Amino acid sequence: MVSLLSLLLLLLHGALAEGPDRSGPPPVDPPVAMELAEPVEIELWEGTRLLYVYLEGVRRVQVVVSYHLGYVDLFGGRRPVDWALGAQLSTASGRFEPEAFEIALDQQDAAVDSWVDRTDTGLRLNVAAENLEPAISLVRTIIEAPRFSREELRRTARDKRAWLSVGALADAGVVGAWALHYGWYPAEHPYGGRPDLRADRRLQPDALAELFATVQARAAATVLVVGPVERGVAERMARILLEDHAGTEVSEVEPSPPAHEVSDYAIDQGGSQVSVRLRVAIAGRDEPEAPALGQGLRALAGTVDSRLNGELREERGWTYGVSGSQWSSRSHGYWTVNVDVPVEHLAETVRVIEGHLDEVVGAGVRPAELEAGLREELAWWNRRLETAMSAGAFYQRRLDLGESVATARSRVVGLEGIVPADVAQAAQAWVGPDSRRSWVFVGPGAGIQAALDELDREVRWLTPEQAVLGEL
Amino acid sequence: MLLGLLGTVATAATPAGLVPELRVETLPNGLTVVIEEQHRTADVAVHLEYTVGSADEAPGQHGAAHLFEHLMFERSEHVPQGAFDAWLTEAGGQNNAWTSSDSTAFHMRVPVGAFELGLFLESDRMGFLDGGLDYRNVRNQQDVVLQERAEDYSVPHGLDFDVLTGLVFPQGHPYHQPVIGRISDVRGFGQDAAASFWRHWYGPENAVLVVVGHVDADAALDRVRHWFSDVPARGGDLERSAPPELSAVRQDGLLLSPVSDWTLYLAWPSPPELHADEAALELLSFILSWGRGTRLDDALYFDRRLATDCNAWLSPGMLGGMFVVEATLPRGRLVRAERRMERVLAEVRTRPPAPWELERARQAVRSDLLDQLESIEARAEWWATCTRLTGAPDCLDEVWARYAAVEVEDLVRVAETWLVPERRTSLSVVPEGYGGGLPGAVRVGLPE
Repeated sequence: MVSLLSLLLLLLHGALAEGPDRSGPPPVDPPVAMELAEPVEIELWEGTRLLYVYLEGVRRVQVVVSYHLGYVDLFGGRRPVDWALGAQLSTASGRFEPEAFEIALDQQDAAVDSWVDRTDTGLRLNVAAENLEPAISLVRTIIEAPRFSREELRRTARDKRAWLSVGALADAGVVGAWALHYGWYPAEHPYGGRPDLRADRRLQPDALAELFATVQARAAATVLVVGPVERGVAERMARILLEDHAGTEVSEVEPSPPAHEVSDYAIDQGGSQVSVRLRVAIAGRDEPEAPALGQGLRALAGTVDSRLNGELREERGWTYGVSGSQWSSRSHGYWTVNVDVPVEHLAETVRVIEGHLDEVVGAGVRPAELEAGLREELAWWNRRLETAMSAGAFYQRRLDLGESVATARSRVVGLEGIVPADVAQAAQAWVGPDSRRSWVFVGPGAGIQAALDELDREVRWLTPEQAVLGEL
Repeated sequence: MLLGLLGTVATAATPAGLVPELRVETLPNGLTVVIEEQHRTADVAVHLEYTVGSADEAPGQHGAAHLFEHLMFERSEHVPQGAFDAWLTEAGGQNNAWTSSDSTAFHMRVPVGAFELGLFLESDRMGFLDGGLDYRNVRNQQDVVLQERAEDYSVPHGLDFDVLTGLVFPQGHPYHQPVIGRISDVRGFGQDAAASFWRHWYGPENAVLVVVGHVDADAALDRVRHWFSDVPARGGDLERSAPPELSAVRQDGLLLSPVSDWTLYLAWPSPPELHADEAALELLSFILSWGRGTRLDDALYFDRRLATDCNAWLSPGMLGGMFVVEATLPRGRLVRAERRMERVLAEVRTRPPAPWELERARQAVRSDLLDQLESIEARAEWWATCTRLTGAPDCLDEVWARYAAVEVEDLVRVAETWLVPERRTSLSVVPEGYGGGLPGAVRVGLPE
């Protein structure tokens, strides 16, 4: 009996000894940035090239046809015709009516979309690898003979009008985002084009055809092929797509940062919640401070464990979550912080956001926050080639930015060299109290006004329609 | 149900289809573990799914399962307040969770070097959450959840799904209450009730842990065994009672809402997940609405200018689902829209779908499934869903075989069986300040 008890105790002791050690988190091996393949660049002829990446283990191929001129190059800013061309180009072709075109794509397990962006115009095909060739033939029918009809133009104009004059107006997120954008970029800025619903209605198919022909005639073009496809096939596909292409121009326009005095805005939309948005101007992406600013935003509002999320959600329980994003072109950029709170907490929320922003400016961020930011970026980097879609998006981004994979990798790995003082220095230079800032509040008017009175702050009041249409 | 079973090891069958080689084991404490090696990235997806959702809440506890999803990120015995997210993000990981009527899932994705950390965190909140539950974090997460509810319901059409579900599944049905819960119940759910709820539902016997990613299956299984070895089995009755039979009642609801357009939903109760008719009903939803050349989209949007948007979808559930068709209308022509929607549905019987329509729908479902399966997180979720529904992780080939076997006659049959007028529910969502709705529609809303 004694020996049995001893044995049981021994077993129990052994079991306890082998159990998990919960006295602290287990050690973590930091991620190491994987080497991702550079695209192979093949010049097909002057002004036309193929960028090609062989990607194993995914089932789709992504093919992007990018013409290197966009609406800023062509018009100096957004026009109804370029918006309509982006919406219409991929919906039909000279050989296929819209319905036949869509059904043919579905049969090939393929999707096509199109756009006219600031510095490029493009078409993108996503297709199951086994159907690459027929899908390429389908896209070629767009490039050689696009189809634009009055009926489809009317439909897209009608949908846009219904969205901007009805659907969007009840959505605080949409209203706030547009108020912020149009307040940030005046109508005359290349990025500040306003919707013109009347002009949309007057658009004729010929105008779209003419614009696409101009793009094809003037712009250099790149075909990007990413997926499980051999180089010879990729090259043949690219030649089919861009047969006879002769354009050679590449966008070199870089709009200046907006310089007008910005305002704060409020929109009375009723309800009990306020959608709060803050935008702060930061450096362009090529400036030396840009990576440190990215780390600053991450610590402030960029993740679930950010300072603002910690205080406004985890401590005070006032919001479901704070989000932050950073956008930048070569010449300029901005941080945007978003949060929804009950209107009775609006004034204090503004103080909390400003307080944390001041803290980042004054003291930068903590080493642990920098380390977390670095590891998050490394983990993000290592996931780029997981799916056909993520890989396609990754290489298209490199194409859009005109940068190599090695440059992108060095930017991620380079975060390791950033120290807290770098963030403080960058924040002082860019997002300090004198920085260009704009607040937008969307929610119940009386409650917002009470909070503004408490904060001794003035805003410009807008209607939802003015915000959405950019009539500031 | 797995309580008391000794650990058993098995390798699921590996057909040349969608399901890869999976390592499956039931730990002595009842936790089902599924592991798949996937070496496309340097990450590991860890998906832990508990078979508890809002359908399991007792009266007076509506919102408990979702509140608990939040509480699981708070303090546990060995993980201080705020450390769960901080440690994980500092390691380059990311995580989130969701709650449905039937289950609650916690999913994380970590670089392989943080796999042990992920297991430590998941096992600690499964085994030792009660050591960290206190008044403060329960109170704080009540605030956050009620704010989430307010934010969700304040966006245009944010109320629609919950109101529609409450109409299709009447009072007394486990799906009647919205997942987000009632304000008074969430607010009244105290620390003791939380601990009791956790003890009952969040034990290893009621969960499946799936690991997919850059691991060696044997080594990963060893680490799972290690980290969950001190998590005790709970015991207790985890069986769900059968839901009440839905009576054949046609009903029309009217929701006045802070929206600027009109939306009409027509909905029918549909069979539970994995029912023999599920595949045909889902394919039918694609035949009705999947762009140009599909029946509802053409009838309401492309060929006529009645709607600015329309859709058809199947909402699945372990105890039953909903088949829904909807149309968004800029100018409140609800009666006209209803007539046209009904006509489109009636035509499924009088003008059965052509084979090409069925193939197009099948292609859409297949394509979506295959695209999902490229992601380690989606794979992990699929193996967990299969385990929850069938007891084994490898149901996907069988599920797909059902879609592959659907014939045109099946589409007609399920329409005749399930989409019958006497079981139809409608919901007219109308901007505040306007009257209307379908004739006879009764004003509805959500209880506070």
